[in-house]
Amino acid sequence: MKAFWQLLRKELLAQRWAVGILLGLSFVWHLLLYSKIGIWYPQAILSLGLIPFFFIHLWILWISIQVYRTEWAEDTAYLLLSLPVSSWLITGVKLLTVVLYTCFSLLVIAASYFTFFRGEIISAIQPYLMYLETGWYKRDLINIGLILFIFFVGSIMLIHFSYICSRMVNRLRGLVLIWVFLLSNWVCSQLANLIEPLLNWLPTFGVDLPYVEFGNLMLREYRIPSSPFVSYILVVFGLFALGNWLWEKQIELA
Amino acid sequence: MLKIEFDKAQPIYLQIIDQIKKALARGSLNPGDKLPSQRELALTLGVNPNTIQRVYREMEQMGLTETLRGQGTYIKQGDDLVKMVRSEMVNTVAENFINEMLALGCSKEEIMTLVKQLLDKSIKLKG
Amino acid sequence: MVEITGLVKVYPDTRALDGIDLTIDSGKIYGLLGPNGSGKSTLLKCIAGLLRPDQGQIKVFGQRPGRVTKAKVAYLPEIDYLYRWMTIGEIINFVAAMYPDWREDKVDELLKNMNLTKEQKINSLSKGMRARLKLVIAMARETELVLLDEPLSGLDPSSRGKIVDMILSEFRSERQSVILSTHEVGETENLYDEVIFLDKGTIRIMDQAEKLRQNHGLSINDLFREVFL
Repeated sequence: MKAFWQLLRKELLAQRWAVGILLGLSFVWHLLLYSKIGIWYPQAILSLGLIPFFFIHLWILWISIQVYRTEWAEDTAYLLLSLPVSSWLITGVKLLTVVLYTCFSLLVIAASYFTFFRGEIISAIQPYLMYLETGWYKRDLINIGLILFIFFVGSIMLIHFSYICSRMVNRLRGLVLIWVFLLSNWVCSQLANLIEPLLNWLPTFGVDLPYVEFGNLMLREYRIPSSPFVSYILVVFGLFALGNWLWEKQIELA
Repeated sequence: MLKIEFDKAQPIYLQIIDQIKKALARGSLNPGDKLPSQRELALTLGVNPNTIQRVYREMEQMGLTETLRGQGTYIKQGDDLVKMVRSEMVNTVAENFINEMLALGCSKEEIMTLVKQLLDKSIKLKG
Repeated sequence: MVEITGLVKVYPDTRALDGIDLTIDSGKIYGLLGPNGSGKSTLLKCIAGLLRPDQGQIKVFGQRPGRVTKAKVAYLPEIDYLYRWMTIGEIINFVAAMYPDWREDKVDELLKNMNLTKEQKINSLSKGMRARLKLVIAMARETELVLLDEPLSGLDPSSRGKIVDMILSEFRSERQSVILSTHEVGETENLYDEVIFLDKGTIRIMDQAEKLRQNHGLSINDLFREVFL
């Protein structure tokens, strides 16, 4: 347990600049837009204010690689790989670091968005507020959020797997990283398709799609099987486990 | 007690034994004196503890020292020991000197006069 | 404690190790000597489990190098492998949490002997101080095997002296072995029980240091020069 906390502390502190840069840029951007309130169209300000949420995808990609790359760039891989701890502890903590920092950054950026543009948001959604009264969207938010979270964590796991694979070669590591990442996504979808029929006994879950008819809010429920998601999770875990095996048994430090 | 400039081309343990014998012959070490622990000596001389272990083992075999359980290693009691060590060392030094002089082609008379001269000089110097 | 047979390690451009047979016994300090590029680092990395043999095998405490043996081996690499943004106190806490054999009671004493304090930042340390810190971390464990890769290379005389002194004072001859690699024998001359001369990935000479001195009438340092220069 002590090892886990020390590793997590180390990862969080090592990547704190990456988070600082993201949040700093996002804050400056929101501040800039804030100064344009009353000058630019409110819709333009609200849309442009969302840019950090798109930008964060690239940032996640970057920091996911960064948590591994810095270990080699700063030679600390020698320390990390001579520790007598399970590879799962090391790779798991790196994964957790990216997840924690992403969630934290999303929360901070969202808070900044809602704080800076509170007035604009309220007047923009005012006409639709009556449709939200029943709180029907809560289930959707949870279900869709969960699906996004699964693919988000899955993607990071595949990036980490790809990085470890790229460490198996001496040249063209960047190319190998990209190639393995694309290939592993393809493998995931193929394997997930193969496994999925075996899991069709799993329950389905519902997502409500709203539409307006004669000024009334109507909901249509779609039932979505959970087996594709579960099989995706299984395959991603399989590749992540392979990455762990490579980490413990194959990676070399020349 | 010991300050050794090692001649690194010779086995180190032999040099240490030699130095201990010299200290004994000079009287800076005496029968009954306690030797430092092996660890201590290794650190002061800056040599591997296994080398010191070997020194102590060989000295014990030579009858120079005795180890009392739980108390440490001591120079063996008895005047004979010092005398013996001293005469052994004196003999070796003298023999070496003579051999070298002979090898340089000095005659017996030459050696004798030279020794006498040098001896007088160094006694005079020391007052 | 270490058994190596027929070890071969090939890099794209060289055979770094070309058939090494070696047995490391308990209770001795081994000098792994050879010029740059002779394969010293590669051999130590193989024992530490950071490189895998292409041919032959390595047994450390009867096992192939891996997570289990890493817990029993202290490895000091030649490069600076510590997180530079940490303070000495932070890196000490970090490694202390990783190794079950960490000697908490010993660390303060070792740091003090090396003139280091826990508040110092690693990226503000001089080269000599970083080398001393690395040795503290390697020696603050109760390990049976210590691998020191070039612990003295490129250091000032005072740091070299401190490092040699600490290796001597912390070496536990009853149950520990140290393998120290270097390309300059100099002040480590008196440390060795056994000496291994490595040349282009093969063992050139392997014998007791005292025996070599006696048989050749040369210091290990001079013998090294004679063999390699």
